[in-house]
Amino acid sequence: MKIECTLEGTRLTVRPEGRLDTLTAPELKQALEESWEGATEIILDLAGVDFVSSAGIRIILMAHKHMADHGSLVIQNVRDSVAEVFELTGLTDTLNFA
Amino acid sequence: MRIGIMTFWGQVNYGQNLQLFALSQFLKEAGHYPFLIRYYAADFIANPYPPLHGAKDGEQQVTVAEKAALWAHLQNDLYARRIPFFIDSYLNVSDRIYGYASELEENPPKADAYIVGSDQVWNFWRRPLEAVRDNELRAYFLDFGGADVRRIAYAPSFGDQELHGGYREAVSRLLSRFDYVSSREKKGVELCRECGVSDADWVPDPTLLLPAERYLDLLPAGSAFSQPDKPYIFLYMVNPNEEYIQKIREIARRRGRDLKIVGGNVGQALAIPGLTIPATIPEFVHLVANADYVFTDSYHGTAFSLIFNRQFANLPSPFSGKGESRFLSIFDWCGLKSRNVDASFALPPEIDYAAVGKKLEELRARFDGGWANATMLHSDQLDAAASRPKVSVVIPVYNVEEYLPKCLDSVCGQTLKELEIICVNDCSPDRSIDILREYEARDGRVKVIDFPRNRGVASARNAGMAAATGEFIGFVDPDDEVDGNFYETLYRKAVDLGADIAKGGRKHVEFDGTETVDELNEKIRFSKAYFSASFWSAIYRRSIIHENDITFPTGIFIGEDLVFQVRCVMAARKLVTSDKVFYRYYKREGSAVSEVYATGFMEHRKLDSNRSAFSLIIKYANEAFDAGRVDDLTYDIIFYNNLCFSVMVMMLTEDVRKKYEGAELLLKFYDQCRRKEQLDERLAEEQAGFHTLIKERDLKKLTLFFVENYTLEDVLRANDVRSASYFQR
Repeated sequence: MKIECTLEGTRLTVRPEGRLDTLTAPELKQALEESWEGATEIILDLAGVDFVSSAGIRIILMAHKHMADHGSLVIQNVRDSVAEVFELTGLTDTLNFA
Repeated sequence: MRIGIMTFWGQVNYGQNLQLFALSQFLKEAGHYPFLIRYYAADFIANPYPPLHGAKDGEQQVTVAEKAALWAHLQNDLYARRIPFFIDSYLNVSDRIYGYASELEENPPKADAYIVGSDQVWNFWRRPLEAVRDNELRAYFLDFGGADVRRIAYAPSFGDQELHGGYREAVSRLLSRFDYVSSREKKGVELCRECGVSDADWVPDPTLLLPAERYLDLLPAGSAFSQPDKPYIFLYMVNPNEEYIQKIREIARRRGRDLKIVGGNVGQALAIPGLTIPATIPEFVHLVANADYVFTDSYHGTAFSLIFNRQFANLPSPFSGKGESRFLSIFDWCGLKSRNVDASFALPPEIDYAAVGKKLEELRARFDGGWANATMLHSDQLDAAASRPKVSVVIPVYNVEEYLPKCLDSVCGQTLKELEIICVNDCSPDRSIDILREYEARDGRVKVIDFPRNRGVASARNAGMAAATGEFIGFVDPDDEVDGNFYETLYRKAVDLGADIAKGGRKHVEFDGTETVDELNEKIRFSKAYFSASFWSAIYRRSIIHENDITFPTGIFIGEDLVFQVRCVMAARKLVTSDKVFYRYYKREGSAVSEVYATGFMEHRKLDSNRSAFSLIIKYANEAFDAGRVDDLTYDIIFYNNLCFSVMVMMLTEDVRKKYEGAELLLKFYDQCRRKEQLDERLAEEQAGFHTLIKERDLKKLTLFFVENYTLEDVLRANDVRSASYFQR
């Protein structure tokens, strides 16, 4: 999975591309853990993601919990197919969407 | 054959003892060894019971003290009429006397067949089901003894027009074990049919099976009873009625006849000095045989009047209407109309015995040959039964040429030789069919069914089951094997312990050849409901499958075996286990769990199949519960397990929508539970995580719970995949 991470000051923008599933979720986890040091805001840009599985949700929740202590996580550019997943799990009320 | 007869016996009742004598004599003459099972309902005798014959609802019960007095009186009467001596002289009896069904179950009389009947052994006088369920009902419906003992109902009578208060369900269940069911009344036949015995027969009372001479021989020639000095009218009254006595006395006077009266029946025995004769059983027979005219309110008074070609009239009894049917069935056969005296006590028309006697001869001739065949007591039928396969092994075959010979060798080489091996080739593209044909040519027990097109494993197993003729059915998958004494051990155990399902162990053989043994049997010994995996590790009595119309549901291709298995478990009266023999399940590439390993998820159509199977199980469990066919414990366990299985399936998908659908289904199942209090209790204790969310009915939170906690990683990471082993096929 291609993941682009850009750190500008304390804002980290993460842009994964493709499917976020059992096989790719560990890559996103690794990318986040390697780059979130010092960040107070993470922008998770899902414009390039067309599928999120339970494994993907778990990584997003992990990031959300981490940032609860360090700042904030904002998710943006969610495609319709992915929005449904947040809807079904009630996460639209829990997570921050731009 | 040793044949145990379960019926009423040894009371002050001529018909009762004579029908027993007749059946026993009939069986002796057919070459069998009949014996009376000496059972009496000990609790019935020890407790107060509802009013005696003919009393209406709401009447006062007979107290223990009143009953004790009655029994003491009966005891005297019994000896006055020498009934115990009659039994000693003419009947074989069981070694012991039984008072409870539990005693019969623990120590069943050794026999090849049990016959229940005749008499009104299935008349429980409309007592509440609870009063008879554990003892009398079980005893008189032969709910004891091994499964290999033939169970035959010969001419028992319900003495009633309907089955009330739960009796129908209870009787249906008990009758399902019978090999042959009949009643001596057409109404009784109808009641048996209502209880699911579609081929119940009408048969005559056993007293009608013996020719008249056989009864007359009971008394030595020259006795006062066999050569009366004066013509007499004989009155045999089961229900004493002063008015009738007066009227008949008047008739006797007008005709210049003596009047001889015999009374008698349990509880209302009439041995009144100066009025009635305390006749012995042979004397009673002669009193009918030599009478000028017979009046009676009794079935057997009527039967013996017919046997001895006597002119007779019936007296309406307090239970006319209820008991009438028993007269009418035999009258129908003989071409007679009702023989009741009418309101003005006018007698029915004379009987032409030239015609009636012929009909009775026909009846005897028909049953000498026909009945013995129908009841499978005939020697030809016994030979056929002996050659019937003990176990039919059904093997669905699809594309397994590599493994098939080893599988067939393990089945054909079983120590139990009386097998039938039914292989259903589901249109395999490989050489499987050639291999099957080779085995078929070599071993006469192998039968091949060849599907012209692929129909799926459920259809293949169903076709195999439909063709099976064995006493039990077992299943082997064509890439698995069974221990050499697998079927012998299970068959023996099932037969010895009277079980409908006998389960062995299962060995799980991994890719590298290592073996693990499933630990299910320990739990199954606690409750049969825990038998919810490895369905092939057991044999199932064919009759419970057929009677309950149990099949593998087609259209779903995962979980169809579990539906079959759970239905069998609910239908089985008893399940036994053996830890000594094993079914060897080989893990192969291509199984559902292997697929999860390889692809990272379970195909949605398989997931949906699993869920359809769970829905079916809930449906069948609820149907069984509503019909009273499953006990509470079994229902609770099956329901809880099924609910947990449906949750476990959440692990096999990472698709959020599929988890959402699973959560929806879970709520639906929960809502359908018939015993929610018990379910809540167990869920609260063992599944607190999602139980609170179920109670909150928050579908989204429930979905998130499964997204976070029921992950595929858990399955993939597990070294021991047995927790998911249910999904393997």
